[in-house]
Amino acid sequence: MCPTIVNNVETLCNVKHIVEMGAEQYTKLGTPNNTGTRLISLSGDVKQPGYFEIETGKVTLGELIYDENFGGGVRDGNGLQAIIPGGSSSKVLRAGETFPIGEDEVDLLDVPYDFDTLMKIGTMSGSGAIIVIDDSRNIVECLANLAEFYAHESCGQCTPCREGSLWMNKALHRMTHGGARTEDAEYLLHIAQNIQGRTVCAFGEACSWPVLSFVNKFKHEFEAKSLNTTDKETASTP
Amino acid sequence: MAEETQTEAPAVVETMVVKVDGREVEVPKLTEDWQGNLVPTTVLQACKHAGNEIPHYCYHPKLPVAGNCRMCLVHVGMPGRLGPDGKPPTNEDGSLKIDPMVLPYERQTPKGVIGCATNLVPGMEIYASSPETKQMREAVLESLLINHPLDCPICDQAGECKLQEYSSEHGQSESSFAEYKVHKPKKVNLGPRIILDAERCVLCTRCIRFSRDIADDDALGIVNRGSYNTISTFLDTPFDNNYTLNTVDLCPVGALTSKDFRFQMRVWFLKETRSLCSSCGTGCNTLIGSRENTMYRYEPRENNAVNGPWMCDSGRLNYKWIGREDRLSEVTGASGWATAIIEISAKLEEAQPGSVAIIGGARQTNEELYLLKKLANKLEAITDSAPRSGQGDNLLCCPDKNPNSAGSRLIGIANEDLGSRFAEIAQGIEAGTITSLIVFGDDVTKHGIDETLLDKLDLLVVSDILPNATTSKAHYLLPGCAHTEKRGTFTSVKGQVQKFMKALDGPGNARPEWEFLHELAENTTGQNGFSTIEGLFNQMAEEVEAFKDKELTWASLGNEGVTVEI
Amino acid sequence: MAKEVQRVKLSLWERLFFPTLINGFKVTLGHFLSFKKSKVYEHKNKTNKFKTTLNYPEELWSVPEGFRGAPYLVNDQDGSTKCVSCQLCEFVCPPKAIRITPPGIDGEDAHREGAEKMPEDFEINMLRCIFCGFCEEVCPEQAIFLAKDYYEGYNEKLMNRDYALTGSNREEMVFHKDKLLERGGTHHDRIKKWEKKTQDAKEQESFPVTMAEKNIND
Ligand code: SF4
Ligand code: SF4
Ligand code: SF4
Ligand code: SF4
Ligand code: SF4
Ligand code: FES
Repeated sequence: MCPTIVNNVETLCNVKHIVEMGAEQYTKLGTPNNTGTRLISLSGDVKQPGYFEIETGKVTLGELIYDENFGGGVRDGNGLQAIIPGGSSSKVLRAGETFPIGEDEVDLLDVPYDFDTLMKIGTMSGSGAIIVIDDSRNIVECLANLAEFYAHESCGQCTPCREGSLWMNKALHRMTHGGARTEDAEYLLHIAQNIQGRTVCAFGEACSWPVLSFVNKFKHEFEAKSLNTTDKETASTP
Repeated sequence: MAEETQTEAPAVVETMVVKVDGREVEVPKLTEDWQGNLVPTTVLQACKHAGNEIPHYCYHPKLPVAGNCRMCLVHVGMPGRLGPDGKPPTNEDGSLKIDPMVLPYERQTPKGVIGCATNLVPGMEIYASSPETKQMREAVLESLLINHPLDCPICDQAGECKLQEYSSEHGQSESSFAEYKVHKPKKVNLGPRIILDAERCVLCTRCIRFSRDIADDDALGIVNRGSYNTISTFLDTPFDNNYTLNTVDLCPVGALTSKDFRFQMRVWFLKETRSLCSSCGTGCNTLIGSRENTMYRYEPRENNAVNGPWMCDSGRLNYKWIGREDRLSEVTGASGWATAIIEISAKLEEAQPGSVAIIGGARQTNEELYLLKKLANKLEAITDSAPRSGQGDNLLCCPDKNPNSAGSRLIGIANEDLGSRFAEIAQGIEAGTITSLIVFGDDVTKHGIDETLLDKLDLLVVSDILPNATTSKAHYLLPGCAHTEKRGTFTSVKGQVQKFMKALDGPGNARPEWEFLHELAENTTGQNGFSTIEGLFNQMAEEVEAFKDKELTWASLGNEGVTVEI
Repeated sequence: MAKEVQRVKLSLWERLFFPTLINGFKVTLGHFLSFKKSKVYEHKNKTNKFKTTLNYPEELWSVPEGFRGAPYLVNDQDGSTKCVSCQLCEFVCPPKAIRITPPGIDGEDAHREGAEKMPEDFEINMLRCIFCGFCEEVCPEQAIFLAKDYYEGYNEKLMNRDYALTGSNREEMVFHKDKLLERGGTHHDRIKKWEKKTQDAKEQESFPVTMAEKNIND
């Protein structure tokens, strides 16, 4: 068992710049405390998904989605519903949210894409993978998709994540297959709250944060899910 | 060597003060880890000192720490970060400021630490019974139970199951779980002695760590991911080292169960008796589980001077002979105990000095060997014990399969080399100089004194438990008791003098050997003896050098015994 | 702490006692001459007009509602033994009337799939039993009932004698598994816990990694 180094593409990208321009010049890129460049992987409901390299904090979320140089707008002329700003484990942001930054209330789309600001508004820039969700999507189904991934990824070493990740997955699967109940929003929060901060590795947060943020920010959608389901017969019964 | 370390002043144990539930407790700074090295004391250990046991599954004092079950989560308060002056923040009165821990990204939510792997910090406050801690425990138990089969009525662990215990102590009565449970393989044959019920497993990995780090057989592992985690052997390789049954004891739930004990008896009926394993010279401490004169199992009893918390499978399963149908249960050669003892005594009194040989098996207790030695002194008899040897290993198993060879040597029945006088005895019988033979617990025909020689004897007194070639030749057959059916002491190969208690009654008219030996010795030597095992032991301890050195008494042996010089 | 009980003061009339005696005779005589059927066994004895005593055992007393009979084991509707030999009833029984022989590893397979075990023998010493009902209460499997007709499928024919525990010696009064099951009849359990469990397990998505089927019964 030899130690193996796996380098992230972003790291190699940074190394190239630092070697080329020197550390001092490199730190002049970006904004104070958020220096250098970042690789953004833009995906989801945008016209031009792809990889982009930006100067940290010099581009806003709105620009990343709508600017011709980046996403080029939401697909099919749909409206924006939500943004997952830094990989699927970062907390989701709802379109139309505003955040107090400094003196001002800043709209979601005007939030600069850097480390500190995203932290301040309760999420993180994480891996730099931005997922755009348009308003044609059912938000519960989006979360169900994520939960399935996390249930599959949990290694199973520690109890809260091992049991909780599959529990959330099963609950969301049930909700998206006609078995939603009005109390399911609270039910999901109960499961997720008992995972974060109690696990061996950070995967506990990774699998519980999407659930916590989706349910908190789109509570009405989760509660409404029980009302507008038609195919009740496919529901799994308790 | 051992003497010296004992007389030295005990090393000063450095202590520190932490608060558990608001109460200050002084705990040692360092505590022994699973290998006996001194490492910083943990929150879990500090709480134990404070008398507040933190629930735990994966932690075991004799296994490396894994920290994966999260059952031991507790809410704690820590001193703040060092300020610019290099000092931690203080309250107004100058005392250290302690802040209850919170999640860094959600400061209104308390954060727990795992007690089993968190070292104490000076000033630390442990909120072992706070509502926050309670909530964390409830949540972990709820998680463990959502996919648990709740097989209790058919689960051998019920009654000694940590999941049952913690659920009733720390759990909540209801769960919101509304999905299908995960189902995993049941009744899996892990090895020749173990059955796995994967649904019941809480994945604490104790069994894995035991086999890898203690038994040195990296046989178990986890397959599949997440909730589907399952304990497994490598493909079809059986889990069959000689220590597998320890995983059954270690397993906090009914996932690993013993085939030997499967569906035999519910544990709450079992009476526990402190005993010893008699299968080899190591003298592992055991607990006998018995109900109404039937023995159902051996379990290891922790004794760090001897076996730690473990014992080997072969010793553990070697108890079936105790209940065998053909156990010797009646006196033969005389109408009963009273006449037999009187007749034998009379014959021994008439015997010429030197014409008697005594075989005291090294499976007899110290007390019995001592009484035989007394007889031998009076009769100027030649004595010995038969050797038994077998396979040993590096962990517990000893190649000497007699439980009391050391005792036999110390008391003077055998010399260093057990069985070395058998040839001399055989010659004596052949030559007619030895006319009487007393055999306790050995089959002499297997050690050079064959049936034709036995036929030459004027007197053959045999005491044993099971029939063999020697017992069939006995003029007087005195049925004895297994060590589970009497009290007494054994001396282990390393010189640990340990006592065992009586769990069962002997079959029929069988009597503990020391009882009738004491009568025989009294009649023959004319000396008064003790008719209780305590008195007998104390008398022996006065006379046997090695025991005298340590001023042994029955009481001073305690539950774990005392090491003597061998 | 002795409490003093005041004696009721009797009037002269009451102290004479004769009037009370005469009252007593009146009741006896009334019954003796009664043409009414006693309520206790009225429906069993439709033909008899004159009723003073019950011709037991040809005529049977019909037990009133709420009567608790002797404890018997029940089968489920598939005819399988419900008891899984958990021995909780044996533990809880105050006079130690129950004695169960666990099956051990080689025992006969439980009649119900998934239940894994059932008692090899189950004895209730009816001379010891105090009909307290603890066994019924503690049973996690609803396998033992002190019942007259609490449950569906209750077998009137077998059970209507349940107040009459007779035997000519002590051994006969120790009821074994077969007799207990026969008298207990069938219980229509709607839950069928073990069957449901096994069914659930089968319907579930197949277990990710195929473990070699290492069943101990193989
Ligand atoms: S939190 Fe990490 S260690 Fe624990 S089960 Fe999840 S992935 Fe494994
Ligand atoms: S492991 Fe414990 S809780 Fe689980 S079925 Fe067995 S006894 Fe019951
Ligand atoms: S089988 Fe038992 S000891 Fe092994 S991991 Fe599971 S619960 Fe722990
Ligand atoms: S009714 Fe009471 S006394 Fe009779 S068997 Fe049941 S528990 Fe025992
Ligand atoms: S009757 Fe019920 S309580 Fe008694 S052993 Fe059977 S299952 Fe257990
Ligand atoms: S005891 Fe399992 S995590 Fe501490």
